[in-house]
Amino acid sequence: MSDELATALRELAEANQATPPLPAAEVRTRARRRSRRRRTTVRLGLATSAAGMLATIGLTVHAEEPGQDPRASAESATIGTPTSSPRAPEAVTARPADTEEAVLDLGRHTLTFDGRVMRVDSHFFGTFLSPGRELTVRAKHEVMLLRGDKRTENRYEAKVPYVVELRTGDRPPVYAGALAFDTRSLGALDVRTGWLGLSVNDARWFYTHVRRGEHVEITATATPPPPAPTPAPSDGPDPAPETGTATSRPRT
Amino acid sequence: MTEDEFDAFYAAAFPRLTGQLFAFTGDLGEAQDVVQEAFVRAWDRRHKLQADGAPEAWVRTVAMRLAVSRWRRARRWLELVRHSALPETTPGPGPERAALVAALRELPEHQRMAVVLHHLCDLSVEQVASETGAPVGTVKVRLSRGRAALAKQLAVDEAEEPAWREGGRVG
Repeated sequence: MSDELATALRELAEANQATPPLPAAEVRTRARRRSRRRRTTVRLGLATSAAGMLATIGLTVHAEEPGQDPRASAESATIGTPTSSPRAPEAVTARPADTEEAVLDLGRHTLTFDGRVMRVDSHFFGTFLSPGRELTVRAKHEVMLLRGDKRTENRYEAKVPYVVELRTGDRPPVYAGALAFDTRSLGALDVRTGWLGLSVNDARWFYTHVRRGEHVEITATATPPPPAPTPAPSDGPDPAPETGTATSRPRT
Repeated sequence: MTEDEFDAFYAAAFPRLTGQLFAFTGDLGEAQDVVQEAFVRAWDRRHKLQADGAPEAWVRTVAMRLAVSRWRRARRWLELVRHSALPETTPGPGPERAALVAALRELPEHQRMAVVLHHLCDLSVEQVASETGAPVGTVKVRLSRGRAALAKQLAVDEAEEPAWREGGRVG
């Protein structure tokens, strides 16, 4: 190796080191903005493709019976185990590009998404949820069956409505769903599985509005833990009447 | 990688990477631009970068590829307007290093990248091969030819006292 060349190059590089023209916060902001724009573009592209396909099918086949809800079969298919049949991503409506990312605050025990702050049960965060990580929405299950596990002597079963499956890399999933069942059923899950318990109202709203591929950033604001351990419905834009409760009553 | 860790990584690595990219591009503004852009792209994959254990190498590789891509665009643009010269927008290096910068600029991209990665960034020949996607033998040839070309250029430009002499070989 040529020491003279290396020395000359190092001197050249050191003489031309420059401080960052932008603060790091601005770099992060740009990256997030670009990421949102990219996702919106993908969604709009999917929506356009879907609309085009539907138009083509409508114009050429005319095979669908009037009055039949095409979602009906898909809805019933989601009832089963967690991996049974996650719903396909919705592509028809896209939120504005300036929509904020979802943020899971482990300190405040809140999940914030699209301006709505939802209380999150703090007992089942899993072992790998740590600030700075990012979860990605991988699938959505309208109903998920938690089966009993004989190996753990857990004989409880529960159907969990409005479950959003989140993952980070190839790690075990984190499920966000309605806490409208006996929480002892959570013992059926792998010990590494995380669980974000939401009220039924919040879970339904989150399930309806979040889309596959969206990110949930994990933070940990240093604040005293909230006094109430059970989640309460938040003041969100969902005017629909409550169809379940946030108690531990098993849902049938 | 948390926000604080990313910020610290950015603050520590940005000047170093800018210097390395300057050696590669010969243009400080260009070096800053491509390093900045590489950091913006790094934010989205910060967790994977941290897991891989070499975030700075990733940012440098992306910045170099961006620089190559910009060169190619600029060259195409120059071919279209070959009758007019590019305006000089950034101040050049001092006279003592101008010859080295000019000599580096004369090297073909692949040779310049190999020289900078091996002699400035201290990557082994195998690592350079891995980063550039070229066989080890090809990298050795590029290094050898790059050094020879630099020595020739600098011998012409600085006949009295060249900045360095071609004496070693790739080990």
